[in-house]
Amino acid sequence: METKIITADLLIIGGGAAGCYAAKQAALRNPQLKIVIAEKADVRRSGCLAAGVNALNAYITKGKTPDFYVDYAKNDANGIVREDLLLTLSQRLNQVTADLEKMGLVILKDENGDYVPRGNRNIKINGENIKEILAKGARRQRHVKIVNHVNITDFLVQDQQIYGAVGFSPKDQVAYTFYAKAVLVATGGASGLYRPNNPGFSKHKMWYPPFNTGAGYAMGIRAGAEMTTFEMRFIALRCKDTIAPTGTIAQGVGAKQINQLGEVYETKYGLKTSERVYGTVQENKAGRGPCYLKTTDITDQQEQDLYHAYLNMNPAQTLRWLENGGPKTHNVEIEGTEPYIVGGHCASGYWVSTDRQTTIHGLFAAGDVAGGAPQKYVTGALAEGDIAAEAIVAQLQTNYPPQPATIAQQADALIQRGLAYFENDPNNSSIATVEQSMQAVMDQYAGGISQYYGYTEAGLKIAANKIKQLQQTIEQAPVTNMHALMSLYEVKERLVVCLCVIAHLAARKETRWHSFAENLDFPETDAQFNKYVNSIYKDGDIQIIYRDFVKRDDVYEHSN
Amino acid sequence: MSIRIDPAKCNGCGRCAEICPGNLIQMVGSGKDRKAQMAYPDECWGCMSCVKVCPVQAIEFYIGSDIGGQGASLTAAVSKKEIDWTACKDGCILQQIITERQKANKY
Ligand SMILES: Cc1cc2nc3c(=O)[nH]c(=O)nc-3n(C[C@H](O)[C@H](O)[C@H](O)COP(=O)(O)OP(=O)(O)OC[C@H]3O[C@@H](n4cnc5c(N)ncnc54)[C@H](O)[C@@H]3O)c2cc1C
Ligand code: SF4
Ligand code: SF4
Repeated sequence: METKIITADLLIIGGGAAGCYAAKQAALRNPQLKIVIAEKADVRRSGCLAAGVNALNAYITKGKTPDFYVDYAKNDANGIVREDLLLTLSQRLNQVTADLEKMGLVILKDENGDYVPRGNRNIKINGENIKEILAKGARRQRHVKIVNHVNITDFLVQDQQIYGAVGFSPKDQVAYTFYAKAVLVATGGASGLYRPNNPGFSKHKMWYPPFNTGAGYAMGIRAGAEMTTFEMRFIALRCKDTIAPTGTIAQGVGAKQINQLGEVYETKYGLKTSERVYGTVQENKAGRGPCYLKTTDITDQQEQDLYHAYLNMNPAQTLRWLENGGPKTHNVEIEGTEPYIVGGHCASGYWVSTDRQTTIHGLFAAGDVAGGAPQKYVTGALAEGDIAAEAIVAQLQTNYPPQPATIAQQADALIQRGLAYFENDPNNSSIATVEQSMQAVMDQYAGGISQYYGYTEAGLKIAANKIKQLQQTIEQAPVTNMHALMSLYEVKERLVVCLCVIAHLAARKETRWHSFAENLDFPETDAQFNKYVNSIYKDGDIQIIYRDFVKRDDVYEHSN
Repeated sequence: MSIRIDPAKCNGCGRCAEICPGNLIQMVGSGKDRKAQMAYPDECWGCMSCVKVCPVQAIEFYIGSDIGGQGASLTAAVSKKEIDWTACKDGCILQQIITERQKANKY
């Protein structure tokens, strides 16, 4: 196998929303910096934004303030948020939006030239090509180098200081070593931990990208970075089968959630994100399912408008309607998805300082991989990329430690470890088998779809043991080509994230959010847990730390 | 749910294999016989990046029968101004929809 060595001032792992924007913003602040983006796929269409998005979900609309946004997100998360992180990102939401428009994003405006709001916090766009726009923004900078098709597998860390990362091409026989003075991890969240809605042929027809496998979390956990709030899983309410977003129907044509008796039930359970899922679960449990969005009373024009809107972000839904009858003919059946770990919707991810540095020195985090700030969405991910870029550019002007000689050995050993997987016995359990077992364990014992998202301490213990066994099995799984090597690493990553999720679920001995963390042993909210549940991986186990709330106007720095 | 690539239409340009966010499409063969091949049909996310990037509409998307698909397919022809979507079933056009790229969603 060929080995490529690439050196940079700043390495950005993951060229998604946060990664591409951070590259551009760092380059604009210091055009001399050598910046490299290492991306698993191709930055033009990678990550969450590949298919397009339907709105900018985080924007400070006319008459509202950043504090309004913080209050909203805090309330929706029942208090478990980092207000300092929410405030600092909210303060930049409108400036990144204006920048996006300058870069070429189409945003709907009224006759006065103001953006047209969708509700209190959203604005309307054509988001079909948002990823191409962001990629172009990074590519246009002279000293930004983009390396597509490299799956990063491990950080290079010594004594809590980062020096780079290693990875493999998913296509060609190439291993990569990146050395850098600072690293931004922006690999997004984790899907595929739990048994998905459609476990057969369409198993990857899930909401969150099946290719965001939690690599950034896993690398950080293994390197001893502190993590936060992994127990706040995100479960989306989606159109059945296609797992397409429902918000566009609900907000676009004002469709209400109804049960099979035609009763509007959403008001019964509350309108918070978790309560909308919970309500649907409860209706199903009580025998009043399936549940729907009531759309049969819309007009022909509205139906056509929905076809257009979905083509710009989830074309499968439009095809489904054209094939099986549109929303005017049938109400749209809805269901909850399997749980994901996503720092852009919930608060799970790296525990960061206000300027988005992790507890590993020189390693920053932005977007879905960063914790503490739910409801950040695309614009919040960009805002965090910008905040991190600013801090990184400043840090690179000061002294940073020289690279120890052992780092090159560490890189070499990690690449050899990867190559050794090709020697695994071809008759061992396959990667796919281990993945399915993991998803079944999480589903049954850690609150998946089949359990209506509920779990018990006894079940979590079983889950942890089984996941640890699977960690042994995956090391022996046969690998025949570079794609399979990537798949093996993806399952390894997911298993590490699963362990962390299980430990966090067990540590929050209350039910803070229905469905997201439905603790059947402790079904009520308990003020004792007005705390963050954090963790560090040490000596083969996830160790829990409870931390007090950080205040809105605090500037939080790590004490170690 | 996945995609199908028509080898008779494919010109071997390789754009779909480059763009797929899951690295699921491979180029096989060489010279005139170089063609794109869907290597992992059951790992498709359905993002349609490949469908849209193909310059000759050789790729179509379909919904798997496990989630209620009945054989219809979707293709897209992308120009600077618009995307021309065509849904077909059994060789007949179900509907053609043009989305204008400079027009924001109503919803
Ligand atoms: C289907 C969907 C629809 C959405 N719709 C909206 C919407 O309408 N409005 C809105 O405001 N928000 C929306 N969001 C949320 C928004 O898209 C995300 O919050 C945002 O994209 C997160 O940015 P990110 O950079 O953290 O992750 P991503 O944009 O997903 O980027 C992560 C990147 O890391 C790469 N990567 C992963 N692992 C590795 C690895 N090991 N090595 C190298 N690279 C790696 C991925 O390929 C990807 O490019 C949506 C999300 C999804 C999933
Ligand atoms: S639809 Fe998306 S995930 Fe599926 S093959 Fe095409 S580019 Fe890849
Ligand atoms: S983009 Fe179209 S023409 Fe080019 S290789 Fe892919 S299928 Fe063939």
